[in-house]
Amino acid sequence: MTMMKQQAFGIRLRLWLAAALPAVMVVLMLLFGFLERHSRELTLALSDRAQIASVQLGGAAEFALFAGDGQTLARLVEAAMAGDPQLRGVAVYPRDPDRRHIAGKLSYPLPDFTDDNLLRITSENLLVIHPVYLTLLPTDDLYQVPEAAGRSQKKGQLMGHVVMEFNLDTLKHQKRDLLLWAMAVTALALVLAAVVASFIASSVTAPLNGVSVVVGRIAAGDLGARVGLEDAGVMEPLALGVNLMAERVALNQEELREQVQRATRELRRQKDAAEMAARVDPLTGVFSRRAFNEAAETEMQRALRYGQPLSLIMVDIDHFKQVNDTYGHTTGDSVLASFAATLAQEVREVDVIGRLGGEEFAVLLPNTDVTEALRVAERMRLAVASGNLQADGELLRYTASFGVAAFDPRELSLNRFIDRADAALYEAKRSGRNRVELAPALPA
Amino acid sequence: MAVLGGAWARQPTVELWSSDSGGLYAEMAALLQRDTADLPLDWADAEDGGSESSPLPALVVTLGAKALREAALRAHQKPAWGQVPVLAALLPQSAQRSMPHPLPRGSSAIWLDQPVERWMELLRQALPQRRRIGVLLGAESLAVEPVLVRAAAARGLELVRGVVRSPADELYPALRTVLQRADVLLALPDPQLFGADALQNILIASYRQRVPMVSYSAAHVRAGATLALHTPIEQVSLQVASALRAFASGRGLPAPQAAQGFAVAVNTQVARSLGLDMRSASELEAAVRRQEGRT
Repeated sequence: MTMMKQQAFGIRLRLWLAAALPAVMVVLMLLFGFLERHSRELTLALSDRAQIASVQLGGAAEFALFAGDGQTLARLVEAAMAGDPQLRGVAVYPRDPDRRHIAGKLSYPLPDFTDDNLLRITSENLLVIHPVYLTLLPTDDLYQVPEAAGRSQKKGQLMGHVVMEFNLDTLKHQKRDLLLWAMAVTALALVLAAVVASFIASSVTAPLNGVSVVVGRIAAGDLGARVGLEDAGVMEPLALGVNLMAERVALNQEELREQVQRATRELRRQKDAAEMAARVDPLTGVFSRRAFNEAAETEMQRALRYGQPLSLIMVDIDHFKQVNDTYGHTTGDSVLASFAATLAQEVREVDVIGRLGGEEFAVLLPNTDVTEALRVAERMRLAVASGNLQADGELLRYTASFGVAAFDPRELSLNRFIDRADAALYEAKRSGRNRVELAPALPA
Repeated sequence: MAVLGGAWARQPTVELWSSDSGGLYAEMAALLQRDTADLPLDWADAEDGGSESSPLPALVVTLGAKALREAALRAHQKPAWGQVPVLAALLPQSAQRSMPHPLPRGSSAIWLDQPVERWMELLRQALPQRRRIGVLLGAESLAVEPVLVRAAAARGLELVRGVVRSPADELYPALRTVLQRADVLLALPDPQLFGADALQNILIASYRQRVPMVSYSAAHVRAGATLALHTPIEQVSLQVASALRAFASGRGLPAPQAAQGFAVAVNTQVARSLGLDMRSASELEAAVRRQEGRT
């Protein structure tokens, strides 16, 4: 959500920049032009004012200068100084500079006084020096002596100079105020531009936000999320595209799930088959040695827990090597399969038959005492011995030897249990084969 | 007179030398032509500076100080011209006093200056209550001091004198001293003192002291002086015409003389501001004339 807000903000900012930057540049150019011009005008206005003030003071001081009236000059200078807050200093210099009158402060050294007006503007102050001449009155004077008439003065006698120094601080303040004002107006214009840009941007960002929300939900897994086209506005093509994309993604997702399920089922089946293959001897269909051992362990636990009898019969086909050698392995295999089938016919559902290796088999008889086990073994011996097997057109007959052992609760090892039954089997072999021997019970 | 004898075959020629080609001088020249139209004289302009080829005139009339100076110089430099008398007009007596060269024999002058007696009479008519007459005397007016002193004494007036030898430094101190004691300021012709540049401040100073200023120039009255006794060029022209009539009739030029005609100018506004109950200019003129006619 925050990311979307940032995005919307980014769009607003860019739109604002696009709208405001040219405006700002124009405003700034206008501003600087205006400032420059205004500054010139302010300076010009102050110059004019300074010159007028100096002319006024000069006019007022003329008679005092003519009359050598120091008091009046001092009063004029003080009044001029008091009358204008921008004045830094005022002075009237008669022709004898020792009799000058000064109010405020002047920046020395002053320029040389001349017969003409002087206006000097520095960064700090504005200096006006105004020469004071006696006012000429028009006279059609026939009494003028030739020398005087020949002079034909344009100006009266020079009586002195008025010096006025103006502080430019106020001017600077005015300029600064103007700058601040202009900057404030610019800032206001920018804010206005921002509001307008934001308003315009919202026509883009609002639908975009909607699209973004939906894309976010799709990303989070909600493949059913769709953009409402009525709110999409200018972003309708985008919304359509997003909806189409979501549709595709959802479809693909479903296909994928089905494929995965199929593969999983197949894998499970293969795993089960493999497990089964490991537990069942593929040739004879009885338990493999491992499966038999597991079952035997379980039955031993059960016999222990419930105090039930448990018997084990070890079986071995007699002279099986000869069969292999004589008829080949294929026939041998057939013999083994037939033999296992014969054994299976003689046991109950609960009994466990396992091929422990080669032509050696074991039969576990739960809840069966040794007497019954001997009987079962005997039945098996007879069934084997009486059985026929077609091999290469010949009728094949064979026998097996059986060793029976009863489970003793003191004997906790399956191996020992098997060893005892195996020992009985060995005894049967030794005693001429095709017989059943019982392993002796453990000594008390 | 024998020199002029040959010229009688024709009318004598009078050359008019003017200080300036325009203004009052041009007006004056025109007035002279008019006022001497009935005289047996031929006017000649002096624009060629009196060329060598043309015959010498019988008389040179100069208008203004500058023209007189040139005439004097010419007479001094060229002996032939030294025989031609000069009638100087339209200039103050002081200007003639300062000429570097003497004029040819038989020359004369008609000055702009009004006689001191007339000043005194005008003062008496216009400001009878004012008995202390202040006067500034500069280089050009110092010469009238004795006459002035006598005239004042004769009328029982007190003369407050301020002598200004160096106007740049002494004018205002002298003026202040005079204005402090006098109750009327009499400005006698002296352009060194009452020049165009100092005039305004003198007027201001006297006005501040509430001392009316009586001047020699109508222009001063326009600028703020209370009263003026001046010499209009019409009067000068008539006086010159009269002198020429005497010359043309072979009696030679009359002796140098002050202005016979005069005019009075009053700045009624200034007079009122100073609280003066003054008669009109024409009334004053008439009064002065009556008094002069009586003596």
